[in-house]
Amino acid sequence: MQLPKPDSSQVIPDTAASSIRTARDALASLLVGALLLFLILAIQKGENPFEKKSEALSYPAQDLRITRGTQISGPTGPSIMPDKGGRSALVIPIESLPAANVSSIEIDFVRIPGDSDIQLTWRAAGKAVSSIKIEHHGQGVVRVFMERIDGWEGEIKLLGITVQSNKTEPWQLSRVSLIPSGWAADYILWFNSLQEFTPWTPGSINWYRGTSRVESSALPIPIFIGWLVISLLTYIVIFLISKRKRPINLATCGIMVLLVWMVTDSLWQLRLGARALETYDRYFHLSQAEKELRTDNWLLVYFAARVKSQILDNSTRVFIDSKSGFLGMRTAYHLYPKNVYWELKSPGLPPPDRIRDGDLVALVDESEIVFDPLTDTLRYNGDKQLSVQKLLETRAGRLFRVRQTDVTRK
Amino acid sequence: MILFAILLLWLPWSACLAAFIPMGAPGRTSLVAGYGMLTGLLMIPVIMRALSYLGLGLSFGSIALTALLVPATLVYIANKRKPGHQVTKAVNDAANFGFTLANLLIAVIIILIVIRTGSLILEVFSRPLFPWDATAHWATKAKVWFEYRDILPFVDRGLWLESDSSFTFTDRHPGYPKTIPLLQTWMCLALGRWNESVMNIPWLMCYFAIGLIFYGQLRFSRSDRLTALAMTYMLLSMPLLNTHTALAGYADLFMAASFGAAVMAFYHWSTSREPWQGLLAATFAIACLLIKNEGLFWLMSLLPGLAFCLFSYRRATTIIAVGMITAVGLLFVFPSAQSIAGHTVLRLKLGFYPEGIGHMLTTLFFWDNWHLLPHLFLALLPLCFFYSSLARHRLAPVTAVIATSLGLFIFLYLFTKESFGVVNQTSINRLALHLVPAIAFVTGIAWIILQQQFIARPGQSEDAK
Repeated sequence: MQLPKPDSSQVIPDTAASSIRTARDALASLLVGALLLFLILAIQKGENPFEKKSEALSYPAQDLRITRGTQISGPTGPSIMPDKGGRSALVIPIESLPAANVSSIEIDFVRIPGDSDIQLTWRAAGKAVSSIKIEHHGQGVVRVFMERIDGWEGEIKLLGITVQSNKTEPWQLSRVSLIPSGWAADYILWFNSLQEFTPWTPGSINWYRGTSRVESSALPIPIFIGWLVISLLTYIVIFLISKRKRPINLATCGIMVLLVWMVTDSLWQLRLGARALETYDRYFHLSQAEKELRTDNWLLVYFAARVKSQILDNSTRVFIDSKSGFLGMRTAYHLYPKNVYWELKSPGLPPPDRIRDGDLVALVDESEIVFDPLTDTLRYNGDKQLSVQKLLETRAGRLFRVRQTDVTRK
Repeated sequence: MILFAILLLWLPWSACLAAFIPMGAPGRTSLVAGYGMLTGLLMIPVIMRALSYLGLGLSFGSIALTALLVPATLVYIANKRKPGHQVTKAVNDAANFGFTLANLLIAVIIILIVIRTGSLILEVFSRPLFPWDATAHWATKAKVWFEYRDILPFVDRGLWLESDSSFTFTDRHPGYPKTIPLLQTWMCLALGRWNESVMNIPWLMCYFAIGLIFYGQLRFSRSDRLTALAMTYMLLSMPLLNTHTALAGYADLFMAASFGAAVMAFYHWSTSREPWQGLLAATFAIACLLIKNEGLFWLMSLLPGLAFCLFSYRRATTIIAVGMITAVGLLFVFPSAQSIAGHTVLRLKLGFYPEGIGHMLTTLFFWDNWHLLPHLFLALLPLCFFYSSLARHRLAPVTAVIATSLGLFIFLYLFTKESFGVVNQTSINRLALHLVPAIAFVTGIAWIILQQQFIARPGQSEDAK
């Protein structure tokens, strides 16, 4: 088969003038594309994006009423000094506020101890006091999204912030803003869901939605694809109606694709970077043993170490059972290179005639296998019994040594 | 020692590749570095298996010595057989260091890749083993083999229960290929102790290898530097590719690298008949078998592409159609309990599972697993075929490979009980990862052909200059 040889040529502009023209066309098309997409989404939601919405209610620090702790003067304005127990509180001066009108609350912390436990507290008419914990990073703006929070309903009569810290250090905020519902708040909420920190989970290896929210309306990929398609169409339309009749430049299209990709990827990079820093802080300077004890499964690590200490020689086999597939599997992993047997489903023990004297049985967390302390037997699958000696019990699980095997059938 | 172990995974094998890849080939440096690294990652475990088979056990010294001698011998043979290198014309895109959009974008992309790599290095060097399968059946073997300094047998549970040997082990998948746990064992042997961060360095190397091979093969397609770099950035930025590097321990990244390396080399062999590209394609297609049992299916997906290369289109289409009908027929007459590549017809429970369709579309086109790749692939490949007869000619064999692998992928998730893997989103993206570098490459080639065709048309070249 005779194949044509590819030519070697460039389409990427290699002069300053053509670079500027290409970049200008790409950026202009993307900008117009973004605007058009915004309008389409607003119309689709049945909202008029040009309609004036109710404005945010903003309370500067001096308008807030301190109910616990004392106000002191500082170089950057008034601060709040907690009481001797490290507690302080302030109230936002609202008389009455419909909860439905506030989609989020923004608190601008100038300075606050990193270990502080901050609670947003409120009382709705006819309801008990509710509160939620506010995650913070020591300083900066913290936004709390209220729309789906239990208890944020009806007429809000009291709204405040409480701070509990181990240190009696002063803390300071510059203002509290109550952000109304509406498209702006929706977009802020959406953007926040795209880049807020979420840790690695076991599911991370299998999928990545692109957002921490679960609603399909919040997925970023359809939005970014829509943006790219509209921008490309915009560019082509501009080309068609242009009097200069410049040809479509494929490089401009390529740069548009690349820029939209970069925007999409920047959100993932933010998440990846934050996770990497969290991993670094948690593990980097530790030895292997210390790392294992810093994981969420440290109880299993401790349990596995205790089990290993009971293994007399290489011929001792360890059977593991747990209702939790993950906990059973992870315990088995920590026990290797010992000779380990584990099945995903509980009860995962083989028939008693396949188990030998001296073998160990570890029941991790909850198990379908029942230990009868009166007869020192493990019972499973209805009619199976195994005579054992209980060796140890920890918060993670229990360990038994098989004394004799006995098959009992109904 | 760690550095030495890393270099042994790379430099001798790159030296070996340098003897085969002709001087002056576009993207040669990247190709030598990338294919060399991937060869090392796959060959060190082969050496470990050979030494263990010979009863020599697993010692760092003997493995290191063999890992130096084998490539040295190959280099010697290559140089003896081929005294002079073929010179292929390089792409003429001499660097222009003035202010241009291309230079600006190249700088931005390099910075983005460096930031990405930094994030992944932090993760790999800090994190203990995390994901499920890594601790269920990959590192279990590594722990035993490192402890006993030998490849001890892992058998299924029935055999294990009957065994009287204290040195016979079992885990959830005792029959899986040994390459991945042996790589982990190799790193721990170099360190001299068990370490779940150090042993995952090969995943980082595999990530680099994917990037280098991808960039090198795009450059070999006469792509300019910016286009090749931009596409490489796009591939290396994909969330699940990153996740499988950061949360190291699964075999899927290596499968993606090996299958991708094979398909990329196959494309160039099919268009240029460069023998070394054919050798790379064959080597890495066969290497898929060393990584996961499913590698057999990806290896077979290259056959239709081969048919397009060896026969006329009409005859190739006939052969492929007959082959597919035979394969489907075999499914019904094959002994249902007989295992092929870890699967039996009985366990696959053939049938139509329509509930997988929606989940498959959602995960590929609405979630951010692969950024915008599925959309670009579906847009560019048909556009390229429609627009350019050159593309039809050049892309037909590799498109047959991709179509076959995608066909197998769809068959698995819509016509077997493995559809639960798409419904609960457990395995679908891991399998998709195997195909992603190859699909990204074909998408990139489609773009490059469009570029080349577009500016070749009258009236277009002025704007491109």
